[in-house]
Amino acid sequence: MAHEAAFDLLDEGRALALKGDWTVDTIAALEGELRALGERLQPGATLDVSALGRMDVAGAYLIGRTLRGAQPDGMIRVRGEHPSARKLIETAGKSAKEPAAPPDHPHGIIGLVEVIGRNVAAIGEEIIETMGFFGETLSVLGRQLLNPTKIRWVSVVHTMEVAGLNAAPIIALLSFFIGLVVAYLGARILGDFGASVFTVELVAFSVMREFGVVITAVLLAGRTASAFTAEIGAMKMRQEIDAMRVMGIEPMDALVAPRVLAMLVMTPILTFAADMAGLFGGLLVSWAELGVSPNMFFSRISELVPAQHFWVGMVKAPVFALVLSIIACKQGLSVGGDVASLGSRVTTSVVQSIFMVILIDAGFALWFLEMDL
Amino acid sequence: MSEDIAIKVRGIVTRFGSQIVHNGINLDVRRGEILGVVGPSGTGKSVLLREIVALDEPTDGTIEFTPLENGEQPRIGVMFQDGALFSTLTLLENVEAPLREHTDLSPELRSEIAGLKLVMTGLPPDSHHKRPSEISGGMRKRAAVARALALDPAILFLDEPTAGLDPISAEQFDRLIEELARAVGLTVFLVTHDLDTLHAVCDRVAVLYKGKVAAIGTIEQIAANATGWVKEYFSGPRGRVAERAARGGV
Repeated sequence: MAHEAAFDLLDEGRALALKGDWTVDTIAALEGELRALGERLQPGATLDVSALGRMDVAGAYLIGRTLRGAQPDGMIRVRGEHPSARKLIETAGKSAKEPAAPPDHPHGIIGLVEVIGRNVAAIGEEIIETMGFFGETLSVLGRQLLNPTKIRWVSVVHTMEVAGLNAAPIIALLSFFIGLVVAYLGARILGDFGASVFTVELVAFSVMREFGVVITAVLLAGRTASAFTAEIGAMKMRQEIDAMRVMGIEPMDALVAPRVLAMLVMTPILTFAADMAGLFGGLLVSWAELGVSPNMFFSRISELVPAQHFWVGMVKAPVFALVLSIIACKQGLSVGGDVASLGSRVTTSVVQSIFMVILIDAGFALWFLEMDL
Repeated sequence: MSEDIAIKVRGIVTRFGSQIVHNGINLDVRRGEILGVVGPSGTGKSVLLREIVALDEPTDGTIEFTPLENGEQPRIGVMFQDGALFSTLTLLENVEAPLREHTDLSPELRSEIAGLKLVMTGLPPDSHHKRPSEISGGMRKRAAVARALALDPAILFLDEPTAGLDPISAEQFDRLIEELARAVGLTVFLVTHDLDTLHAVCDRVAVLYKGKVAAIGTIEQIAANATGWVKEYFSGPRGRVAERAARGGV
């Protein structure tokens, strides 16, 4: 066990005798006492280390700080034998400097206003940058589509599998449950008006127009956009992006375009899967709750639900795909040198993606309504 | 004298799958010495370091730290190759982190001691509130040493301390390690490729080759009896220049 640090004031403050171990573990208890001791020490007091146990730099610093205040010339006189105390006190004394004040951050109202101003400016910049990135990506995509040999098929197909196909089960499952819930609600509420047979239309309309595609997009934002941002961001942090640039490989061509292309292909397919799963959920409930047989379910849909509702949903899928993947890639390329920026960029990527999906969906809803579609 | 030994490494065997990295390593680190460990790339120098500080477990063998006079296990500090500073904290907060966890010091004294450690490693106070991403690689290494020294360890482990530094910074860094070790009475275990470091600061050198300790001793002893790879290493063109520099420079 370490011996507790202690000290004795000798000869009416002309000498300070140290006892026990003065290490980083033991000095915490003495801090206050030593501060009070400063006034009681006589100028030119000596330090007695003959009974001192172990000492380390922290202990030496603390004793040096206490004594130096009482010394007119800043010198510390040490008496007694100790293997390392003298050297340690000297070492600590040499390096003891006035600490620099931490950088000043404004507080209160001014600080608040400054923070708000900075954030507003940052949002503005972010919008402009993302728009620029959007345009750049479109031009790269256009160039690649005009000359399909330039498309990096391997990474396109790989991304299609990892980000698209592997997401299919979870998207289908969620959409199935949404279809189930909508059908239950329909059977219940429409039943109050004696119109429960319209449950079939309710499920078909809502799943095909909205839920299928929005569930797909939101899940892809959580699952795929975050992965894109993290992948590209980690590459950026490890200078892999810089390495590509100096090799003459454009990250826009090699990283961004394949991801955007893969998502453009896969999102409509996933949306279709989501639509089917949602309808299946509705079918089960209609069958069990309302006695609508699967046969009748399908014939009702094909007779009473125009195909335009399906296309209204599907047409949104590539738009969402484009927005999601471009936001994700842009955030990935904006990652800085430190770990915290990776985390915050991934968060931003997911939040922005979901926000944009909902916003664009609302825009579409208004537009289709005005167009009577 | 056995009590002069700080770390006893006995019969270390390390296998990764079918690849044998260490095949019976025996090594004594003496108290208060600066021991340099060298060897060709891939001989498991860093792995050995990781095993000694208990980050990895060897397949076989024992590693024993001699307790201090008061019976406690000696404290260790480790500096990793790229510093491994916490990137979300400032330099001062990085050095404060171990103090905050393991001592009851008041916040003021804690930050004063952390500042002292940073100054000891050659970082002026105006850099203490910067983040690791805002400073140069050499400064990051210094800050990493300061953090390794935060709790005044008895034994300091350094993994490639001078890798990636320019020759002048590397030389300053060598001198820093030596000064710190002598001032505080540290035992230093140092993995390096840098021949200048070996000549400038190491009391003894251990050469790892083909899973064994091929040679251990002062650098003169090793160079005198060298054969094979060891000879090539120390008497190749770089080795000779480093030796001449060390002789002429002192």
